[in-house]
Amino acid sequence: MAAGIQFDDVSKFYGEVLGVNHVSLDIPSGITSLVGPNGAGKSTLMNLLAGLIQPTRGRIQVMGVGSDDPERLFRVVGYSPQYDSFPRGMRAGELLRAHLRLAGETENIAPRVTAALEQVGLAAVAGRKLAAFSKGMRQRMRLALALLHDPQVLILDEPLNGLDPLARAESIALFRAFAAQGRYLILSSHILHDVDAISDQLILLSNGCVVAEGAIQGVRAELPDRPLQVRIRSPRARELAATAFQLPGVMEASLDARGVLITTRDPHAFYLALNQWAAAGLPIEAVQPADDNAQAIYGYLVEGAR
Amino acid sequence: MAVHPQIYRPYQGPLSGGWRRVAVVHHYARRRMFDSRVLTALFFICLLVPFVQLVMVYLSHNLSFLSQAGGLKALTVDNAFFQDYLHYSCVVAFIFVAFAAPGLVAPDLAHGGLSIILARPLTRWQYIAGKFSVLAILLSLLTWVPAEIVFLVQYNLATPDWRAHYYWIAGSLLLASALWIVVLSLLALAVSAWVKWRIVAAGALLGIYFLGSGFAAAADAALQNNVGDLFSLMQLHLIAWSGFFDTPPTAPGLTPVAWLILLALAGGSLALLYRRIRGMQVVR
Repeated sequence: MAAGIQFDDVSKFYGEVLGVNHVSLDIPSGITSLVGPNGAGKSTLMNLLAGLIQPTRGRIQVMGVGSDDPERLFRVVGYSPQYDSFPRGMRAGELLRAHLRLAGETENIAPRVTAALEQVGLAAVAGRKLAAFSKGMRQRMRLALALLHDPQVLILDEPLNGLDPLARAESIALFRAFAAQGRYLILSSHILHDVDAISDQLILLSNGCVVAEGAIQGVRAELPDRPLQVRIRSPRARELAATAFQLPGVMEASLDARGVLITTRDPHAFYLALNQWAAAGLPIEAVQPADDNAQAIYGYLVEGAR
Repeated sequence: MAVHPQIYRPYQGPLSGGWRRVAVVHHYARRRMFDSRVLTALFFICLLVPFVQLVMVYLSHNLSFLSQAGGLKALTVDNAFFQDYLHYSCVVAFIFVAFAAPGLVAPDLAHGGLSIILARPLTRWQYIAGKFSVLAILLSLLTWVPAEIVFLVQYNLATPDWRAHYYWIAGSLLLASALWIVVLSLLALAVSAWVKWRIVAAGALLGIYFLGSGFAAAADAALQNNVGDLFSLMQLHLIAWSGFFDTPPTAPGLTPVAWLILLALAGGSLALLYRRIRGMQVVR
């Protein structure tokens, strides 16, 4: 079985409406987040990956299986959409049993259903009717359905929506454990803080095109024309801010409770000067990049491009 | 950069074949249908038709009793009798389908729920086959299965001459029912897939039947011929059935047209259904 997920020059049009355009990706194992504004093509990309729609042009391979081969594809892929429509009269455990049989599996049905419910924290309500489930419980049920057949690739559309803080933390831990086994987890989220907290990689979409992809720090490093923001913690923050502002290239130096936030167009010269200040005795407790996160990258590449 | 050791081992157990998964779709769709007590009751009420027919066949062979009762002396059990019987069964079965079928596909389509089902090793054709089989089996239980039982009873009670003359009715019942089942099931599933509200879908199906029949009768009366029959679902079948039952055609000369319309209806319904059954609904 070939490893990885590949998009080879994939385009999808809905009539004359663009879904995604000329997307070529090679997604490695780990947690990959799809980020972009509404209409950027996140759901289209997920549905293409899940084989629920077929590309107008190009080719998609998931672990060596074409996206047009549902018989084999859905043995390796688990998919959780943003919405659901569960049969109202069915109970949680019953629905999972039905889906495991739909997945073609014949052995250990009951223990596997129990395991899936335990993974998402719904084991106690296995016998409850789905009609009585809250929004958060339905979200976890969708996750259980996607995890049920122990897939190698998990595709989750807005998986943290509607979850309370405890359930969010549990879900994130579950995602990390899943990815730690060398599996592939692709999720979309509007909450960039979550993306930062969860993701190994980022795929940034805008107007149907991939604007950036890769590890968050790597993506930030490839934006040299963007001023760098650095946060420095020092007991002499005011002096540091005044000194830094004298440097050519420094555009802004501001003070807040967390230290000095410096924005510079010339990171190389700034870090050189910072070393000299430290050597000269200016106490510096911490230096931390302030804009190598999903929020900043989104701002530079999507909002800045508007 | 995170480190991800490749320790995942997928499921290695045996996998079921495609038809087993169709059976899973069938099983849960049928269960959901019979969760409704009203539908369950309606189904059993529909079985009263063959029961009445069975009684009539039995009584027709007990003429001494009938003469004492003072009626039904003229009852003749022949090919026309079985065609009429199947006609009544199919009308009753239609009423059952009108209320049962809208719940088969529409709930899966709400809120993109179908994407959860089709995110399994299941093709759109297999999904349709699963849902179709629910109606096909239930309609069989309401049409040709009891009809064959009635026929068998008649066959056993009848004279050797009758048997030699009418043995072929068994096949006619099966073929005529199959035609009705295929057309009606596909039509009902297509309506269920395209009409969101159950009650509206049931109304649409009943409208197709009764308004079509009404229009056909009015057209026949106005035009003084049988061309209007082509607008009635039941009349279309009766025209086609006349070949199966060797009865005089209700609309002479229109048999090929009736067959064409029935085939177009089934094909069109299937095409509409397939178009609607998608993992992701595209809103343009």
